[in-house]
Amino acid sequence: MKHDLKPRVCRVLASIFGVPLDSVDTSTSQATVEPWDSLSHIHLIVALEAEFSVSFTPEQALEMTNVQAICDVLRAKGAAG
Amino acid sequence: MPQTRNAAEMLRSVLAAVGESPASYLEAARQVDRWEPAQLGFRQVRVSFVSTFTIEVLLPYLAVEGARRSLAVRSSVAPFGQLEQQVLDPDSAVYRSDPHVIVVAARAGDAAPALIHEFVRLPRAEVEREVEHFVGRLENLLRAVRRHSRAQVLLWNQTMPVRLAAGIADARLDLSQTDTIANVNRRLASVCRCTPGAYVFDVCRVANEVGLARWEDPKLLHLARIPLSAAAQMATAKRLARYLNALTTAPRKCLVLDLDNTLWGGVLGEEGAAAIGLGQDYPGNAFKAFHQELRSYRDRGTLLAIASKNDASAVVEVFERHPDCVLRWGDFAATQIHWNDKAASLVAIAEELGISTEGLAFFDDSPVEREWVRARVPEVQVIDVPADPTRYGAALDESGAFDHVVLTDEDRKRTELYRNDAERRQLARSVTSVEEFLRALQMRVTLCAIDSVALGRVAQLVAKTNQFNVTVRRQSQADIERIIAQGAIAVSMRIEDRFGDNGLVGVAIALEEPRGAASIDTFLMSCRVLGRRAEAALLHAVADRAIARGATRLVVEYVRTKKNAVVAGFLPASGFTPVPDRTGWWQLDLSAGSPPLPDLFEVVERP
Repeated sequence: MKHDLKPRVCRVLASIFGVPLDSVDTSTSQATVEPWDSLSHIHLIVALEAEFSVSFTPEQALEMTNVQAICDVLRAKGAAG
Repeated sequence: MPQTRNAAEMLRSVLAAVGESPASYLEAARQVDRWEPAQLGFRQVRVSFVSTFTIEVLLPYLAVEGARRSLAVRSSVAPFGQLEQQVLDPDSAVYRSDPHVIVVAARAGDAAPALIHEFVRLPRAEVEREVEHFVGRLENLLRAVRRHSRAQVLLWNQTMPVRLAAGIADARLDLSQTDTIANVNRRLASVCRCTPGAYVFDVCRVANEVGLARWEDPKLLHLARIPLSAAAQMATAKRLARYLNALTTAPRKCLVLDLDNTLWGGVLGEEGAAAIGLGQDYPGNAFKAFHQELRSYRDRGTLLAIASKNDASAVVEVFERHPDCVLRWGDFAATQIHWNDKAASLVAIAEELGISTEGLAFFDDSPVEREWVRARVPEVQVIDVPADPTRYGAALDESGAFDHVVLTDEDRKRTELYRNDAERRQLARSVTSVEEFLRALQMRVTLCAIDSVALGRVAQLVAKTNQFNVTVRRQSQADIERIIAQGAIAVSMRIEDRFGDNGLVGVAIALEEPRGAASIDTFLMSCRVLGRRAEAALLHAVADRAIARGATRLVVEYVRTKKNAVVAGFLPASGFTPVPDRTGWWQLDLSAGSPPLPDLFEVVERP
């Protein structure tokens, strides 16, 4: 995939967690975002599925705890930016 | 308050932009949370949830869907799986927030798992025992809620299992799993019917609408105990918001309809009655189907009215003679057919029906008319009408404008009642004095105690009556039942006349107080019978009962609102005098007996 997924992923994260878009980057993870608890993780998963028209496995959902991992999973699913 | 308008305006545009995506809901939920309900002019609704699963996931969706209905939903959620611990303990978090509504969501899959997972193995008697046990458990919970709280209760019913234990053989079983779940739902409905202030939240229906194949996301179920997919979460929150709205806001009373391109295709004045789109084939069949849906609204108590820019005689012709016109002229409680402005037509319709413009919803295919009405009479609910007439029925339903959690006998008879009113007006024009008119009505006023059958209608009047309502205490059905059970004086009034039965139209409740006083808690009369002097009969009945219990005076607080000015004259005219040093309070001396009854109607007293 030539297109970069990251900006769209960051936008979804900013919407779900209510943090400024410019504070979200590749280094953002569950450890750096305070509102990213287990419940909002569920909201994030379904929001990403809707945004990229994909469906994750439970393992993928568990892995996607930082922007880099989310982009990796999405890329593996063939999602475009 | 300009601030209110600006905040509400800003939020409205945010809400209008929310798509069917989780991210946009979450984003909007945060916007909603930024405002105080008072800043928005929203009604606050406190909701407590008890459930067997992670119901928290619904909250941001519910906040948004509530805001779309001008409700500020404040939710609190008890830790999942602790049904009894939370509900049986009067000091638990469920009751601490003094909720308006308590939502009880217990899935059979969690609370009666054998019915879902072991169904094929269970002998019939065992299935019945499981059902009994599960329903009994929920019934017990509702009883406890009723003991500890005045909140209204929404009890979730059961969705069908996504996969049946017997697979495709289920439908041929002697006792199928599908039937068993349906039976559980029937039993839960009956539990709610027997519990004041309790209603079924029909999540089974929501699941059918969404589709069982899309209802669950197994990943969410197994990772987070969430038995609802993202689509199911959105649909459930949307429906829940409609229930909350119906539980806390008076429904609209009258649907005002346009005609051209709303009740038929095309323009009557240009095409003529023979050529309008109303018939067996598209597009006429779409309009005919809408007529059929509207007839059901009429049957359940929604008044229908017409506001149309048209030639009145041509319109009557269509309703009287068109073979495919399902709605008939007599189905409309009021009509405004002329070339004048529609905002004025709406005001005139409300006046004619004796209701406020807040009781109106407006359905018109023209965006220009809708905008005009929205700007001129903002209290009218203007329904967003899609361009496609096959979608009219869905748009009306989704508006929730006429959502009732219960349907009373009065609701079913309403159009007839208002039509009788039209005949009464006819009579009024033919007589010369009010007394003559009232005598000619040959009224029979029946006064009796408020029994359990009447309670639903009484609660409805307490919730909705704005004009002749002295104390304006909006008590729930559960409150009213409790006060009556504690021995209050409680009188209901029905009025029949030569044009028909008006139904239960008056309620008075009074409490005994020390030192020979009886204090009126509720004294109201439906606007349907204003001006009939029947309030005198209702007052007479309360006074009689108070005297029988040894009271020597009747006291009442007149809570003045924008709409109940009609009461201001009633109190002094009936002999009440202001209580010194107690602003708003009035008293009536009973030492010389009850106030006299006017000689205008027959009064029947029943126990």
